[in-house]
Amino acid sequence: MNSFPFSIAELALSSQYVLPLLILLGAGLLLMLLDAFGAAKFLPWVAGAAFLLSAGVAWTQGAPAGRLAFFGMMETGGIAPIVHAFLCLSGLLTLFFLSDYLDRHDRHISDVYALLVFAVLGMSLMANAHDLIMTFIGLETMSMCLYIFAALFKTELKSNEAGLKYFLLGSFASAFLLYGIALIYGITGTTNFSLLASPERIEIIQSQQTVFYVGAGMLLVGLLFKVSAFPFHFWTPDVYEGTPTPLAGFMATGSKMATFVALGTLMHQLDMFQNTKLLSVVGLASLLTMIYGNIVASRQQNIKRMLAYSSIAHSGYVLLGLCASQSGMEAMLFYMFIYTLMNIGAFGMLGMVEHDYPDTELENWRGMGQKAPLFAVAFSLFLFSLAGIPPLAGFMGKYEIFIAVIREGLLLPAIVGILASIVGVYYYLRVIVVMFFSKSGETSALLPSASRIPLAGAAILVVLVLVLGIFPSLILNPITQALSGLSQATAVLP
Amino acid sequence: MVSLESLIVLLPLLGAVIIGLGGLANAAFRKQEGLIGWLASAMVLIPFGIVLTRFFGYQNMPLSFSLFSWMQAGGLDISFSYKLDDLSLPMMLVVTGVGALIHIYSIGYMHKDPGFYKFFAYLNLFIFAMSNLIMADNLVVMFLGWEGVGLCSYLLIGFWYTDMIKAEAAQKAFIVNRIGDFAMLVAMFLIYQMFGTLDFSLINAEAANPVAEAAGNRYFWITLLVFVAATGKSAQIPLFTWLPDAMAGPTPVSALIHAATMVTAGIYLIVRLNPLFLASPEVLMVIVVIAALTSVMAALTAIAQNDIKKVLAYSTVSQLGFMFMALGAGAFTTAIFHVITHAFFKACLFLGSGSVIHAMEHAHAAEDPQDIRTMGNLGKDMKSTSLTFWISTLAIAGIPGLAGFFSKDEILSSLFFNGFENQVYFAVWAVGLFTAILTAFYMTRLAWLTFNGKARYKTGAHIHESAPLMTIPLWILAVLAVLGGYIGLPYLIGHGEFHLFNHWLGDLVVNRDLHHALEEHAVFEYLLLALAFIVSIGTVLFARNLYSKHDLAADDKVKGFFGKFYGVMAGKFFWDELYDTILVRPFAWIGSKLLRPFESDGVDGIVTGAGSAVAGIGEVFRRLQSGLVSNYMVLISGGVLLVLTYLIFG
Repeated sequence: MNSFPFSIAELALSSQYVLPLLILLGAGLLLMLLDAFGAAKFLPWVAGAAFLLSAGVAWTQGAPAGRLAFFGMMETGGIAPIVHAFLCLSGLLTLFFLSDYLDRHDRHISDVYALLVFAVLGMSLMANAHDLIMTFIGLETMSMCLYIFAALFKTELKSNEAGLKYFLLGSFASAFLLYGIALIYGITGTTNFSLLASPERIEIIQSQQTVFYVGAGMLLVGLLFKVSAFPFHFWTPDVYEGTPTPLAGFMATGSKMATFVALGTLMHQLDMFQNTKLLSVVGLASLLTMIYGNIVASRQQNIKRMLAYSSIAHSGYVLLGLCASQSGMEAMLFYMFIYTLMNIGAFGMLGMVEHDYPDTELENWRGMGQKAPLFAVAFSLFLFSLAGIPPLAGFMGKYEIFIAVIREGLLLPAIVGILASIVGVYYYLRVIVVMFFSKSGETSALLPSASRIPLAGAAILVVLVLVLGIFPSLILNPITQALSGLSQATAVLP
Repeated sequence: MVSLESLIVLLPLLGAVIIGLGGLANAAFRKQEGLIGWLASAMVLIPFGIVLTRFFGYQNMPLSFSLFSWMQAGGLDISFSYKLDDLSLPMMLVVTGVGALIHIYSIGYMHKDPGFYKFFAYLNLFIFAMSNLIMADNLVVMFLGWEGVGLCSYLLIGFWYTDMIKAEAAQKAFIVNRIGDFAMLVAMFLIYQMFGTLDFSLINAEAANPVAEAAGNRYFWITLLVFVAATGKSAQIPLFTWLPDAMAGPTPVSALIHAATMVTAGIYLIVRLNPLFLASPEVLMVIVVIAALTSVMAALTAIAQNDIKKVLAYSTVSQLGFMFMALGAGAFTTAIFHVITHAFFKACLFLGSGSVIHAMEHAHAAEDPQDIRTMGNLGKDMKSTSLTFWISTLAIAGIPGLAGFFSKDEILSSLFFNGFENQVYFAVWAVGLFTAILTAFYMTRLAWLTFNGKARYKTGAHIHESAPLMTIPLWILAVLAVLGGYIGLPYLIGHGEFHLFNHWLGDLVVNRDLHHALEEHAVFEYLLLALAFIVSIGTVLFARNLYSKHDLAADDKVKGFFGKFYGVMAGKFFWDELYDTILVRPFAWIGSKLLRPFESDGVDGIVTGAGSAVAGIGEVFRRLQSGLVSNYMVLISGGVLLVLTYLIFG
C-alpha cells in the first residue's frame, strides 16, 4: 500500500490508538518472563490486571468509527473499543475459574496465562481488523492459542484427541478462509475494507460475479466454522469435551464473539456483502444451526456435551440477528455479551465440581440440589438464563435479537428461532430436574469445596445475569452509542 | 420513585427475597415458622390493603406508575410501568385477597414441613409475578409475569420433589406452558409488527379505531395465537393435560395457582385485548367451540374420578371452559365476573379438600388420603370444613342466590342470545347447559361421598377438624361464595341497571352488543332463569338422593348409565396416551434414529472403550484413523460445495 506515507508521526499516533492491544502484548511477554523466573504464583493476577487495564483504557478511548490505525489495517473507533473491552472481560472471567481448576487436576501449567492473553489479543485483532489480511492474522493468532488449550492436559486421551482434531479441522477451515481472501484480492487488487467499498471495486466485483461468489463463499465458510454453524460444527462437542472446562467456556464465548464481530463488520460495512444470496446463506445456516443444536442437545447425557451443543444453538440465534442489518449488529453484540456471562458461568461452575463428581455425566448430579443447594441454585440461574426465561439476562438477549429480526420483516425465521429456543428449554430444565427433583441421601454443604476465587467469580456472574436482565440498558446504551457512528466508517480514509 | 402503589409489586418480591435468602443462609431462620409465615402473609396483606383503598377511591382515572425504564432500543421504550384501572383493580383484589387468605391457611397446612421457608418464598414470588401479569401496562412486562407465574407453578408443583411422579408433573406443566409461551411470543411480535408498539392502551386504541375495523380479519393470527397461549396457561384443549397432573403440588398451591389466579391469566389477557377480539369474529367462534368441548369433556371426566383433588382439577378445567365460552360470545365482562366468583368458591373447595386430606393423613385413616372411596361421613367430625365445602358446592352447582348462579346464568344467557345472530351459539348453549347439569351432579357426588353417608375409612381412626388458622379462611371464602354474585344481577332486573360489575368495567371493556336481542326476545330471559332454577336444584337433589340411597354403589348405576363410554371418562379421554403416540414417540424417534449419524456417538463409544487403555500419541492416531476427522472434513467440504453451488447457480 504505497499510497500511505510512512512516517514516524503516523506510527506514533497509531500506537496510541492501539494502546489497549499493546498492553496485552506487553503483558503476554511479561507473563512468559515471570514464568521463566519462577513467579508462577503471580501469573493469574498479572494476567487479570492486564485484562482490566487494557479494557479500561479501551473503554475510555471511545471515538467515532473510522479512526484507523497502522495504515488502514485496524479500526480503533466505533465499536472497536467496546468489543475489545468485552473480549478482555471474557478472558478476565475465565481467569476466575482457571487456576482453581488446574490446581484441582494437579496440573500446574503456567503457560496458559500468557496464552490466554495472546488469545484475547488475536481475537481483538480479528474483530477490529479493517483489512482481510488482519482478519486472517488475528484469527490464526487466536486459533493457535485455542489449539493448545484443547490439548492442554497432554497426558489425557480426550484432551489430545480434542487438540489434534481441532487443529486439523481448524487448519482445514483456515485454508478455505485464506483462499477466499486470495480470490477477492485477485479480482479487486486490495484487501482493505475501505478500498473494497469504493465504487470502482464494486464495479469490478459486479463484472466478476462468479469468482467473487466463490471467494466470498469460502470466506464465509471459514468464519462459520469458527462459530460452529451447521454444517461446519462437527468439531465442537468433541473439542469442548476434551478441553479443560473453564477454557471450553472461553472458547465458546470470546472466540465466537470475535468471529461474529468480524462477520458482522464484513456483512454490514461492505456493500458487496449486502447481497441477498450471501445473506440467505447466513440465514439458512442460522436456521439449521438453531434447529440442529437444540434437538441434539436435548439428547445429551453429559452436561459438558449438552453445553457444547447448546453453544451451537446459540450461534444460530446470533447468526439470525446478523441477518438483520444495523439493529441486528447491536442485538448481536448485546447477546454475545450476555452469553459470555452466562456461559462462562455455567462452564466455570461445571469445572468447580468436575473433580469431585468423577465426570460431567448428568447422572452424577442427582440430588445436587440437596448436597450443595446454593451451588445448584446459582447453576440453575445460568441455565434458566441460557434458556431465555425472563427476567434473566438471557431473555433480554433473545428478545433483542428477535425484535431486530422482526423489524427487518423476517417473520418466519424469527418464528422458527422462537420455536427452536422453546425446544431448548427442555434440556436446560432436565439438568435442573435432576439436580433438584431426584433423591440423594446426604446433605453436605451449601457449596462444594472450592476455593474463594471461583466462588467469587460465580457470585459476580450471578449478580450480573440478574441485574442485566432488569437493567439491560447498562450495556445496551454504550453499544448503541458506539454503533451510531458506524455507518460513516467506510467513508474516512487517512 | 417509590409511590404507595409500587409497594403492591415490590413487597411480595421483597418477602420472597428475604425469606428465600434467609432460609438458604441460616438454619435457625428456617425453624421460625411463625415469623416466616406471617411475614409472607403481611407482604400480601399490605398490598391488598393498598388495592382496597384504591378500589374504593377510584375516580374512573387509571392510576399509572412506573418503576424505571427497562430498555430503550430503536425507538421502542419498554418501562416497568403498571396501571391500576377498571380491569386490573378487581383482578388485583382477588389475587391479593384470596392470596392472603391462602398464605394464612398455609401457615397451618405446611406446619412442620422441612421446606416451610421455601414454600412461602415461592408463594410470595408467585404473587409478585401475578401482580406483574395483571398490572402490566405493556406486553413485555406482562410476559415477564406470564413466565414468572409459570416458573412458580413449576417450582410449587414439584415442591415435594422426593417423589419422581411429582417431578414429572412439574416438568410437564412447564413444557406444556412453553408451547403456549411460544404462541404468546409470536403474537407479541406480530402485534409489534402491526402496531409498532407493545403498549396495551395504544394497541387497544388503534384496534378500536373504526378505520382499522374495516380492514377485516387482519387480527386473525394475532388473536388466534393469543388464544393458543391462553389455552396453555388456562388449561383448555389441546394444552390442558398439565393441570390435572399439577395436583401433585401442596393443596394451598392448587387453590391459589391452579384454581383461583394463575389459570385465569389467559382469560384476563383476552379481556385485556378485547378490541382485537371483537374485531375477529372467526376467532371468537373458534374459542367458543373449543371452550364448549373442553368444558363438557372435563365435566364428564370429573364424574368418573375418585381422587378428591382430581375431581376438583377437572372441575376447574370445566369452569375455565365456561369462562372461555363467555369470551367466545363476546361477553368479556361476564368472563371476568365468573373468574371472580369462581375464585371464591373454587379456592374454598380446594382449601376444604386440603383440610380433609390433612385430617385423613394425621389420622392415618386410609392408604390414600385423597381417595373419596375411603372417606365418608367426615362431616361428623369436621363441621366447619363440611359446611363451607357444601356451601361452595352449591355455589358452583348454580343454586339460585349463590355466587355461581349469577355468573353462570349470565354466561348461558349471553350464549343463547348470540344464537339469534348465529345458530352455532344455540348448540354451544345446549352443551353449556348440559355441562352445568353435569357440574351439579359430580360436585354433589363429591361432597356427599366425602362428608356424608357411611364412614368408609379405617375404623378407630380419629378424624379432627383443622386448626382455626385453616378454618377461618374457609369461612371467609364461603361467605364470599354466597355474596359474590350480587355485584352482577341479571339483565331482566332493571335492564342491566343493577349490574354493578358491568358498570364498573364498562368504560374499558366493550362487550358484543346484545342489547337488541335482549330487548326483542325478553321472554327468553325469564325462561332461561326458570330453567336454571329447575336444572340446578333438580340435579343437586337427584344426585343427593341417588348417593344417599346407594352410597358408593351409586357409582355403578352411573357406570351402567354411560355404558362403555364410562371407560373413556375414567380414562380421561386418553389425551396423555394420544400425545405420547403422536408427539413424544415421534420426537424420540427423530432424536434417536434420524440424527444419530450426526451425533458422533461413535466418538463417545470409542472414548469410553479406550478409557482404560494406555494414553499415548499412538492411541490418538489410531482413533483418528477411525475416519472421524476425515469424515468431518468430507462433511465440511460437502457444506462448502452446497454453499458455492447455491451462490453461483442459485
